[in-house]
Amino acid sequence: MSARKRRGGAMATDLCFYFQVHQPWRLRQYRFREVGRSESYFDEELNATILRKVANKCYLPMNNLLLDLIQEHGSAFKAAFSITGTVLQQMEEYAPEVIPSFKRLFETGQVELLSETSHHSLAALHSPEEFREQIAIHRQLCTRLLVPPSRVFRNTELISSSGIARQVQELGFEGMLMESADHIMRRGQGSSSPGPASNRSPLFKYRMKGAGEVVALLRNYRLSDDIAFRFSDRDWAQWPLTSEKFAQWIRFIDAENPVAAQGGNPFVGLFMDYETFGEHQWEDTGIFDFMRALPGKLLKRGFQFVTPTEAVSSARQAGMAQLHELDAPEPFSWADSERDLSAWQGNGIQDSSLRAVHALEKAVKEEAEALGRAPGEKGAQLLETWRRLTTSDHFYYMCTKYFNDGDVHKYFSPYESPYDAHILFMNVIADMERRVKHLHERSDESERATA
Amino acid sequence: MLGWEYPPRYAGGLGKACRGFSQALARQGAQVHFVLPTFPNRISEERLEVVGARECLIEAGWPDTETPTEVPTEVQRKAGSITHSKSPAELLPYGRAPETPMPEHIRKIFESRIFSTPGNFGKALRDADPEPSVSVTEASSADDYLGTGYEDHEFNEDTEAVAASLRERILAAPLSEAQVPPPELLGANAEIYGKNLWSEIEKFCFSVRQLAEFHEVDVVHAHDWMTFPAAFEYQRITGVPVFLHVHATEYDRSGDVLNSDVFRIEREAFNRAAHIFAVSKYTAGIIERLYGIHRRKISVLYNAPDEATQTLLTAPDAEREPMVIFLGRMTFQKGPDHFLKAAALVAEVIPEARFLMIGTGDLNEQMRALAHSLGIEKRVQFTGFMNPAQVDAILGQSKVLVMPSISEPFGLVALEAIHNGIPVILSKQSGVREVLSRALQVDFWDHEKLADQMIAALRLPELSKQLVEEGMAQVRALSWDDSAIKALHTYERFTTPAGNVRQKAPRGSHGN
Repeated sequence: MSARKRRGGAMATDLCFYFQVHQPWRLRQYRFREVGRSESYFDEELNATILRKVANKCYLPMNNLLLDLIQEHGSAFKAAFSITGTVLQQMEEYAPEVIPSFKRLFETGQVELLSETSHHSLAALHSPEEFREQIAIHRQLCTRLLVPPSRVFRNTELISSSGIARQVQELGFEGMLMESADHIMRRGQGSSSPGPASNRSPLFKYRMKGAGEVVALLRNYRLSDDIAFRFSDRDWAQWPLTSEKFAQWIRFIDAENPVAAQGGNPFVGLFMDYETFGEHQWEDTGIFDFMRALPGKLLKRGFQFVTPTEAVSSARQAGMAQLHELDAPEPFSWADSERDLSAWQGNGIQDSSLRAVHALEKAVKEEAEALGRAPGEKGAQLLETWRRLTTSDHFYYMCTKYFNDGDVHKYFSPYESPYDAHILFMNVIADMERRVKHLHERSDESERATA
Repeated sequence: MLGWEYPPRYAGGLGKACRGFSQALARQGAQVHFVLPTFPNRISEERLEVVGARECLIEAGWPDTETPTEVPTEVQRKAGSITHSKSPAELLPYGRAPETPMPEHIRKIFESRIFSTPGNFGKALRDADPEPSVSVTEASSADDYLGTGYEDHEFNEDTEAVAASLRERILAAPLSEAQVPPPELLGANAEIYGKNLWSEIEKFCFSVRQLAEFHEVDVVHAHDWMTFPAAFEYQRITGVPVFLHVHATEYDRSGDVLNSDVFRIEREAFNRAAHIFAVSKYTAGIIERLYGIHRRKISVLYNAPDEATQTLLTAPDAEREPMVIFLGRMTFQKGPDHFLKAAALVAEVIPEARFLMIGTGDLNEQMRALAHSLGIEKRVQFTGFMNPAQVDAILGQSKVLVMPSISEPFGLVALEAIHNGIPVILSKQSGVREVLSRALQVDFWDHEKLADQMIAALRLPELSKQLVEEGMAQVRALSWDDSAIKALHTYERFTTPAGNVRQKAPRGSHGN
């Protein structure tokens, strides 16, 4: 098939692949009757099984595929990852061979590692202090195992808002990945506006209201979800999706893009779960072959790959004042069709669980201090255990929005129902409360003894 | 419509379901003539009449002495049904099956005269014979009232094999050799009422046969096995199609120590029926797999909340007692022993938790003994039978209702609990979970998990609140009218197209 010639004069479109890698520490069937009797909360066997399965079906083969692409296309192919601290811990423990496999990718210099919270938490919404600490922990962990993460930030599930962007800016980050949620893109436009395509396109880069120094890179959800969700959907009119067809679609965007008129390269953010490859879309769907062929097709058409840092830098060089402003007083995300927070909070059991775990923060940190926070010390273990409970997945499992539809929440949940997820979580919280209180009482006693 | 219970003559969910369904059928335009074996005070509503066969015959000039056998306990039984003071009698068909062999003269009715003489059945029935036949097989999958997709229920190949071997074992048992359950499962009164039930059934057959002489209807709709012989007796005379409504099978009542005579009656009736309505996919699955009936002959008619139920002023969660409720017959099927075993685990960690067992049955004494041996006798209260008002009052003061049934075709009481603002824990072996998915669910044998859910309901008010809110939305979506409309559509398939039954009133039965 011959590549059609690009129209003369148009600027190159920047394509940015970003893959999210994450696994949570799932809870075991921890009964309330075990409170005070057992401090082992996590399902070692299940977590190990899933991690090894995903490593074999996705991480290892896909890493090799990306490495091949880099060898094939030289410096022209680029990509970015975010890898959570929890999945790094699990790789270390259950599939250590995966870590060097990722490390090789980063060492090519063409694959960027993004910054984020260590525990894939909702701390940005509940505790600025914990948010900062988890970002620092993530940096340390990545530096030890892989490479230091970049100055571009991606929050858990792309949860973003003007307020979160401000926190991110204060921590010294220059860019942030976000969803091009329709309700955010429409915000602030007059009713006469012809729609998102005019000046609210995901092809633009933006600055956030209240955080003028942070470049927002947006996920092109249509093109991203064509790969992540629709690729193997036989009811989809476009099935089967070929790399040829996909490259063609991006070309249409390029031809119509509103950015060219304003100067600057259009930006196409292809952001998705890394587990899309081989796990959500199984190998027999042809997803690997698709990805193997796609970069070549796109490069032939004159597109260029960029890393998030490159995309941010070019925007900053052109001047932040050039960028349109996005105003997002309420957080938005890449989850579900609502693109809001309702995947993790909003129903009674989610909210009470979140309240319960974050109410423990102060006591847990005090106890951790008292017991010693150096690696291996009891305080460090207590704090790490608590942090594993802040992972957003626990609250995702408690979502009841689409309970009857056998929905995506259920697909990912290791528990029988959202209610069972809540019960297990609250049982563990009860034991954490007891531990903290118990320790308090003991320290009170020792104070009395020394007095 | 043939039934054994109708309020105020009822003992449990069956009576309420019969009323809810009949009233909805009448609302949808059908003329409903509900006949019980006996019903002293006839009910007449618009397009709905509820009568006793015995009373009808007396009214029509038949001498009461014409009934085949003298049944000395009948008066007692009737009285019991009204006052609820003699509940064991009423409960019998849903407790353990009669323990005595089927008497020879009843067998005659069941075997020679009804079930073994297909020549006597009308054309409509032959069309609907269990062998693939025109009217059944032509129903396309688009018809939502045939084979309502219960195949998604949790049966696997293992269950299939177990069901098949169980069926063979039951059918291999020599006739008239009742499957005698272990003595510890026998209630004190089982023998007396067991003898009684067979003759009740025979009497009903007899009186319905007489009614057929002067009552014309388009279809017969029979509720549960006690009425099946009478339904086919009616058909033998008139040729109208018979629809069976299964609220419980012998398997649900007795597990795998089921009574082979009852099982045979059910199986034969399922084979003969034009169509079978099951109260859940769970029950439809049992009919298909254990009884070997083709799934296209079965569809699901869900129960709905009793329209007479008033919403209680349930106390706010914080003000309710830390009380866990078991409500149902104290029989093997309802799993009271599993309730107690889980309760003992709860009692270890929640000192203030208390347990209330409402209901009576053949396991009364055993359950008291079990509570004792588990060391929780001071925490468990056995109330015996309570009337609906008393039950509601207690429910409104409790934290959670548990239904640990071993096999529960539906479980109407779960809807009532939710309706009254009380969360429920359902066994996974229950039909109601198909319409009340937003409930805590557990395998009845998983005492650790059941205990954990009880504890959660006691200590997590946000969970209880959400379970009630989300469950209420599901309960509100249920309607007897939906079931009635579905049944009417199904009747139509067997009455209008061939025109083989009657020309008028294609939508349902009409009396007089």
